[in-house]
Amino acid sequence: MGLLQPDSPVFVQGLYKSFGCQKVLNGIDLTVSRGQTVAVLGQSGTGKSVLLKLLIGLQQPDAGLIRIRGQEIANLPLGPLNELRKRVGFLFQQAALYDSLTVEDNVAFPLTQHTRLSAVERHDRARELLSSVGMEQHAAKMPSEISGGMQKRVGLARALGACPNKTASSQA
Amino acid sequence: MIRTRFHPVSLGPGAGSDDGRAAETLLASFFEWFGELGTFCARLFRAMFSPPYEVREFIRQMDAVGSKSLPLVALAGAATGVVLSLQTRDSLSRFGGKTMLPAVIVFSLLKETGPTITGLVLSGRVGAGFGAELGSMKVTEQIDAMEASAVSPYKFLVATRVLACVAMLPLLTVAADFSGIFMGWVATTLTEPISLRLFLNHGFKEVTFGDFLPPTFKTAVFGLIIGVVACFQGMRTHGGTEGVGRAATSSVVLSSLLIILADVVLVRVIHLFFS
Repeated sequence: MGLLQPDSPVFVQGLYKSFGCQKVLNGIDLTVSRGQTVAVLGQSGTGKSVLLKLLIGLQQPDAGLIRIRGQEIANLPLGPLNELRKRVGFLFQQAALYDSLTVEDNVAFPLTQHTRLSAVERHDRARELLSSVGMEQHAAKMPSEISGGMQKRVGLARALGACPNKTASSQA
Repeated sequence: MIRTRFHPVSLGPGAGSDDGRAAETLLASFFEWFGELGTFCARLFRAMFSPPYEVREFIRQMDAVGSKSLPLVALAGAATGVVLSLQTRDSLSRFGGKTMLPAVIVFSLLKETGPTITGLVLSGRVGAGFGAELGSMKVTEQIDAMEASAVSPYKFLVATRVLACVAMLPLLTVAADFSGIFMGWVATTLTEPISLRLFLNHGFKEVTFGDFLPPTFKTAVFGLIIGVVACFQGMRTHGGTEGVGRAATSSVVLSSLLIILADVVLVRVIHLFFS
């Protein structure tokens, strides 16, 4: 972990999180500097995914400080929190693809919601992202029609879709 | 690189065996449910009335709730019309009022049977569907993924579904009324031939807009109940596929029950203001 640097883009101090009686995070400190790659290791059930969800405000900590780009996550209203989330690419452990949308529509979803791209431009960008993970030939399929590994690749393409500054990946 | 710490917790022997504690837990979860419902409704209404509006998703949901439920609702309305004709004919014959049969069928369907049947059929089809769909999305982290993409699931998933239910229920009720009255005529004319024109003339002779509009529009409240209950149960799903099953079942049971209870209140309100 090294020395805590409060001005780091990602700064976590004294983070606690419990679910009922089960403590999963017990005083976590973490700093991530610009351009740094960090891997969090631990046995299953020890709170690695929870830590990532806390970082983007999907869950609330019991105690502790989380600061992303100088903004404290815990007290952030939904509007600014969503602005911050747009800059973060999040790849879920099981990919979490929307099963009512095709592979291409999954990748295009953040673009549809947050950009003013035309339908053709969104299509091209989604194909480009799918191509970067070797999935362009499966664009028209539904998530249930591709394997788990392929779903993760599509999830990665979706996470990269909104041009994030940071990418968080939760892997078993 | 950091390492997180693991703190296993085990329940002691006899945990949960205390009846008093179990009752306390039950009471707490009852109030917790209402508290969560209040928070859910506040988020839902905030999402409903603040831009941007998810028009495309709303139209998609209106199709899913409306046009895809139409055959089922029409069939339920038709069956009700036939049963009303067969049952009422016998009763009216005993009192010498057989000529009132068309009016009884029309009034019964327009004022009560059509709206209630539509509400209950929709609570089964749509309520279970929403509960299972959102529950499945919840346990597979699709809703978390949506939030992580800075898209409000309350706006995109919940508000569109609830509004689609509110908009579609009155229209589906009209379809149920229409098929019920038509099949009521078919059942009547098979026993004792009567032209459709004469059946409708007799049936609608005393009908006013006050008999038709308030009962039809009260189903918008049924739609609100179905949408809110089913989405709420779906969004609070936990516990894997078993939890999804529980969400679907509780959506249907709760929304059906609340529709029947709301009907009691709404009928009284309609009598107060439109009679």
